[in-house]
Amino acid sequence: MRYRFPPGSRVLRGVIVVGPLLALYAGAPQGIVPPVWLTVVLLVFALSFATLPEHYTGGFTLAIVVTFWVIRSGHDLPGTSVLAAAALLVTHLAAVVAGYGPRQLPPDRGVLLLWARRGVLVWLMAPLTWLVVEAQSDRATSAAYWIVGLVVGVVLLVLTAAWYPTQADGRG
Amino acid sequence: MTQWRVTGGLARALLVSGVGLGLALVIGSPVAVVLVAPLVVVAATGLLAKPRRDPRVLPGTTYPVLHEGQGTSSSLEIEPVDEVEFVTRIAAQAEFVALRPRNGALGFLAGRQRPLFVSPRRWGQRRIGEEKVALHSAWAGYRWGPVAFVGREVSVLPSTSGHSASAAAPQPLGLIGAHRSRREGDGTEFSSIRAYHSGDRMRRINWRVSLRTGSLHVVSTRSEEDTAVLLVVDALSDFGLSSGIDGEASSLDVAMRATAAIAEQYVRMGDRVALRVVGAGGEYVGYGAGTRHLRRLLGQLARARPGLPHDVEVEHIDLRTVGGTMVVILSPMLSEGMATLTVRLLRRGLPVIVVDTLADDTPPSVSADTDREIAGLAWRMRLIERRHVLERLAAAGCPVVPWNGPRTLAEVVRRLALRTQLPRASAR
Repeated sequence: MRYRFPPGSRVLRGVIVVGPLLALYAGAPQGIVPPVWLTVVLLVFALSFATLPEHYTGGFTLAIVVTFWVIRSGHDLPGTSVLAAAALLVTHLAAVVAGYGPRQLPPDRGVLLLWARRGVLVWLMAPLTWLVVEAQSDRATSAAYWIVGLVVGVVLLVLTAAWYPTQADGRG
Repeated sequence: MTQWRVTGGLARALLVSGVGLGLALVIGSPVAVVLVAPLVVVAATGLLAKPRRDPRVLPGTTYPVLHEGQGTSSSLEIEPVDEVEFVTRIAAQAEFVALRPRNGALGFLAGRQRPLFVSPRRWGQRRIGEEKVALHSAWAGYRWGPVAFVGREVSVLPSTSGHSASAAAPQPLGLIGAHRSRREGDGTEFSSIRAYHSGDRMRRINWRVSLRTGSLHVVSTRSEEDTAVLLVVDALSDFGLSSGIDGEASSLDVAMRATAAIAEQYVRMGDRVALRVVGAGGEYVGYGAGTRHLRRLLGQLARARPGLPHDVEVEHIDLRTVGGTMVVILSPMLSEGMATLTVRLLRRGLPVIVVDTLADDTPPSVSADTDREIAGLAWRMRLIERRHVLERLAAAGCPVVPWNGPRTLAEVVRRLALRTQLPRASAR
């Protein structure tokens, strides 16, 4: 029936397909152009991701983009990586909203606004990190030090959150 | 048991963050950190917002009885709601149950609950409230469910469209009521002026006639009585398509709505109404009056389902009629048994009215693999037979009227009442 796939749901899936491709081509102005075969592979993954936003193929789709950027950029830090981060984040958030229910569920206006606000705030981490790395680039300290520091911080945060005792866990 | 589980979104954010930070460490590439930094925050906040308690979800109760076309809203009671950010509800599509949103899918932030509107569109037993519910924690890190709720069975009563005809019943034989009786009594309807008998009330004396004639005369009146009405619904089969209250009506739809309207009218007038459904369930409600009795009648109508009676042949069904009962048979008259039953009632001298519930353009009810031409031919033959039956019933003194809304019976009942007041000659 016509109403089984509402327009809002289609738009979200469109974003899930286009987002990774935008992230892949965000470096094009600075000469970071992906090969055609990679674009095709990513498109296939993105279509699969849009069909099943809760499936793990979504993670692979975004990981492909990150890997491509790492390989092509090496130790450089192009400014367009901030745009690529935005495209990846928008794709992820569109999939989160689409994953709230089956495809016939139209996205709620309130939840879209909530995630839009959160998205903007969270995206600020990308330019902030970029600025910090840029500021540190002239120093003699190896980049690996602050990367290790960041990773350790994040891992501690994640482990704390994961092992935090909850009432549900306590009963199990 | 349902527990909070990690969502695909959180797993994805963790995976991409891990890949990005791992590559950054191994290769020493700062771009990976910039790319995944927002996702790291999303993943971390999702993990931190892990709910501490299992939620308790109770679907809002709907009314156990509804009229077709009526609507009700279904809401959820969630405790504790502070750990829930988003609620997803997917209601099951059921036959003749309209939902709003139309596809039954509803998602909302936990603090701004939106109800699901449900409206049964056809009489009968309908299951309402069957749905799946899923809850999401803040930042969509964890999901509880989806959990299926079975809903509840609701009796959907046929609509009564305000029947207000006021024709007198043909043979009222009760104690008190609104119909003019053939017997004289202490009512208000004028009957005659006659000579005074001992026992007559003084206030009944007509002084003008008494003075003119020189002897006391009194005004006599007819008593007012209630009547017994038996409604017989033919539910042996259902002919035609049914699209609910605001669409096409099948023969059984017409019968049910007409029965409900007639029952409501006579119950409101204070008459005793009984119901017999000739169908698979053989629902029966004895004679009674009052609002509670009307509810029982409508409730039994809602339980009726088409089919043949299991225990007795149609023509041998005991309708438990009493003297003076007005019988209204609502039938498409496509069953020989119903015709025989009607004739049996007529021979007992009861006033019988047949309400024809079959629409003129009703298509034949046949399976999809039946030859359309043969089915059409057979259906036409059946309709010709039906016409003969209806003509013979009319000739035998049984009015046959198509259902044209609440006032259908008014004129017919009035004529029957006049007929019973005519002098009768008996053959010797």
